[in-house]
Amino acid sequence: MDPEFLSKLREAFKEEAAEQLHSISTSLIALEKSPDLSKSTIESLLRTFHSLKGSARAVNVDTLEQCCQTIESLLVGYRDSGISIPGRVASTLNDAVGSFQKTIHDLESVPDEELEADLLNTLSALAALEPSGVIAMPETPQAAPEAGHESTIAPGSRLDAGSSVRIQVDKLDEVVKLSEELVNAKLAFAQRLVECQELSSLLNQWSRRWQRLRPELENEVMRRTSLAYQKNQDYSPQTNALREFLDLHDSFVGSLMESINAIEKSVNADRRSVDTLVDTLLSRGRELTMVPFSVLKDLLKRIAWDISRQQDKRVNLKIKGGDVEIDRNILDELKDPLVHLIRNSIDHGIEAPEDREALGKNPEASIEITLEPIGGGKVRISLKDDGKGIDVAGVRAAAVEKGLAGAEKIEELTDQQIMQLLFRSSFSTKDAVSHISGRGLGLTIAKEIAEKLNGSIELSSQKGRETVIQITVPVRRATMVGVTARVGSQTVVIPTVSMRSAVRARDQDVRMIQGRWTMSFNERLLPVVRLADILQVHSQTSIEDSTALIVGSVEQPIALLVEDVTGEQEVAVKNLPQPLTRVRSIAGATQLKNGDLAVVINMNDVLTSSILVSTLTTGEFPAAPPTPAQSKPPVKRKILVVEDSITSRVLLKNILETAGYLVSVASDGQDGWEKVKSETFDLVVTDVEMPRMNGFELTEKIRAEATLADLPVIVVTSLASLEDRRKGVEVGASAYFVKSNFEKSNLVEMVKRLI
Amino acid sequence: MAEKNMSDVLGSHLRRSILKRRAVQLARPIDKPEIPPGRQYVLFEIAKQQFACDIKYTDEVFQLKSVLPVPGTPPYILGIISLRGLLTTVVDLRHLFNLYEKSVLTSDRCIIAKKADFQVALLTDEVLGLEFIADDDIQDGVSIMDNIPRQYVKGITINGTIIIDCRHLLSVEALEVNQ
Repeated sequence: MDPEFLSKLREAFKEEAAEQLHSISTSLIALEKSPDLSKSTIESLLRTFHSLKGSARAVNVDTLEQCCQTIESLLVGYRDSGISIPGRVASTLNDAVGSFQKTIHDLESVPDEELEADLLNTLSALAALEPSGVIAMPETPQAAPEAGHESTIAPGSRLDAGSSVRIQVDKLDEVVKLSEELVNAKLAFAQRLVECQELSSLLNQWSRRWQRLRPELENEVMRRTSLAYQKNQDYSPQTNALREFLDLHDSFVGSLMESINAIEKSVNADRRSVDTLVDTLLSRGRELTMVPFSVLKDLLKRIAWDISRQQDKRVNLKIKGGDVEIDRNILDELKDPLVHLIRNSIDHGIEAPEDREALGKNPEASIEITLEPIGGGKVRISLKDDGKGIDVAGVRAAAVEKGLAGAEKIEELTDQQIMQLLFRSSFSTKDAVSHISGRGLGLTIAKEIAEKLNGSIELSSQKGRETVIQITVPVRRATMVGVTARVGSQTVVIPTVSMRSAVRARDQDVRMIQGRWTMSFNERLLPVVRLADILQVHSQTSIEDSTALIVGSVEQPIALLVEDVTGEQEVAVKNLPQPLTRVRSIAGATQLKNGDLAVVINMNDVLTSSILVSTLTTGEFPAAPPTPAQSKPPVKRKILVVEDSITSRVLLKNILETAGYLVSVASDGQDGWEKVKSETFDLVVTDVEMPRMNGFELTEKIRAEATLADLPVIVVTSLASLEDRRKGVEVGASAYFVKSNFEKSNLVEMVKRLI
Repeated sequence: MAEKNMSDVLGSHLRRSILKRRAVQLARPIDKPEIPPGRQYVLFEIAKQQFACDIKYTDEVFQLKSVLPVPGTPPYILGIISLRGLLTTVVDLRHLFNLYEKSVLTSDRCIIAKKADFQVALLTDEVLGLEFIADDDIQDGVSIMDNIPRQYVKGITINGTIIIDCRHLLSVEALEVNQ
């Protein structure tokens, strides 16, 4: 090469390389701080090293070229294996960059031989890092395919900064929110259009009226004119003015109508273009927060790798359909459950390599995550492992042993129903069960999240062969289809998925049976509950004029009354703002198509509301499946009264004993808890405010204990506030009594209903 | 001639140095007018009672158009609104400060009160404007403000304006609804 040209080239190279090294060292520092940095950081490092390599070759700095090559292969290995870059490697890379900077600084002023000699040390240090076994070595030196073309760029030309920028998610969210607010502009335009139309119709009316009166007025003018003519007088000024007005009026009204029509037309045209723009902006805005599932790939692979190494197991995690795009927020939510499920799978499901070999399986187990869009804006994520599967018989036995239900009931359950038990946290966390099921708490967590996201989860297994967990979730956050219904003076949104049908109450057989409203529907007797009562909203609509939504489980459907169903639309649900951390029965709020805000109903809360629970426990609605207790002959039932006040305690004891129950007493929650654990009771009546442990805590503890979970608890208290009542229901009280309106017959009746 | 010139030069030099000295003396920083320590407050009225909020905790004043009540929330939560796309809770301080019986008027003036990420809209009867209140003018007025929970109040001024303790009021802990 012409030395003069080379030296020119090298000047350009120095400038370019300095820039590249700067960017590299920034990335390296970030990497050192958090080694978990995503693939994209490694990707960008790769690209920069790749172009540095190309430039170094062009200016004959061969050792630098070799160093870059070594680094590239190293990074490719980490990228493909999904293992995070260890600190040791990062710091060596940092040192290397330091020496590159020195080389580039000294280039042209120090003889090449000396520079090359220095770089050789760096090269050997880098080479020492390389083969660590786990890291897959790339076959070809063309490591960064995206960067391939850059090597042909003449040194000195600026690096293409790329056509993308990084934006903080917060900022993006803010923009999306603001664009959602543009819906108001849309609505405003529609309103202006209506106003224009009204104005033009008013003017039309005026004009018609005018046309009717016009001949009269003209005649009058004519009459006056001829009168004046006959008398040979000049027209009076009034007549003159009248004639002028007649002439003017027509042209004036005509031009007014013309301009209003013109305005109306342009408003309409503007409205249409704003509509299209806003709609496009909204849908594009939502797309912006979509990311491919594969962004989780590295994390999941690393987790699988870590856990399997800890347990001396061999696992190959494969992801299929990683390019399916899911809203970033949803993906964030799914991350934890997926990690748990993988952990569970390796912990409990996958056998040790030698066991697998003995079973004739590949010693390397496989976990396969497959993503498949299933339409309706949903994606099915299945996680399949080829481990030992679920021992249904074992789970069944454990369920009986753990007292999850009576033995006879367990026998009746199908295998599928037995597997459903594994989703219960109180069950799956038991060591013995984890061991048998090969699953742990992961299932419970996954179920919670899937349901929170309006999705579902299914579990299936073939013993000895595989376990498949399928999670179906919407790909976009919180856009769901909801029915808009009127309750009191409010419009609320009820998720369509949570209801099966809507019928007019008057078309059904709605009757009062034993003091409870019921409705016949599909040859079943359904309890009727007004949503207004559950939400404590004032409503005057009679039951007959209401619309009944059929909600609840297949076994226990419920007719939930609303005043009217006004429509169905896709809504984006937002969380309630601070300080509303959680409001019972409300899942969030949304902006309706007409721009109004509406609350979105949390059907789970509604179905567990105290009103509904008490309706179900007091009515004649067969709870499915019938509990074995119902068929037992009547025996004297045992009740525990937990109450710190002696007077109340004696009073309660007397009332209940008079009604024919065996009554034991405890002086506070702690005392009560000990008694409940050591003796068997059919029912607990507890006060709320007590020393040591209050009634809510006691109830919560009882509910958390698998053997006691079905023990009815009646909370009796002087607290009349709604919050406490809700708290009572939330911790799992079966019924709630307020002392101030305490009537002993009420308590006895409630006790009778519960046991 | 030369001598005269010399003395002229010396004289002018002397004059200049005197002027310079005076200038330095005059150039002392001017004594600032006595401003007592204190700060700007936004004044507003609820149920005939004047309140003041440290201006650094307020963002804007706006007219409440429509508010969505959230069923099942305590009375001090009037509802929620969408403020440029951001859902915001509207707090009715009358209920928190036990002023409900005294209140007749409701207005549609809201103050957006903000502390870090926490933001609520405070419903007022009237927003009166800004006022500088010196720290010394704020007194501890426990006996006068018997109905207002102590923790939300910093003190009271001579004119009877209650200074709200925004640092405590504007927090999830103080206002949380978690059922």
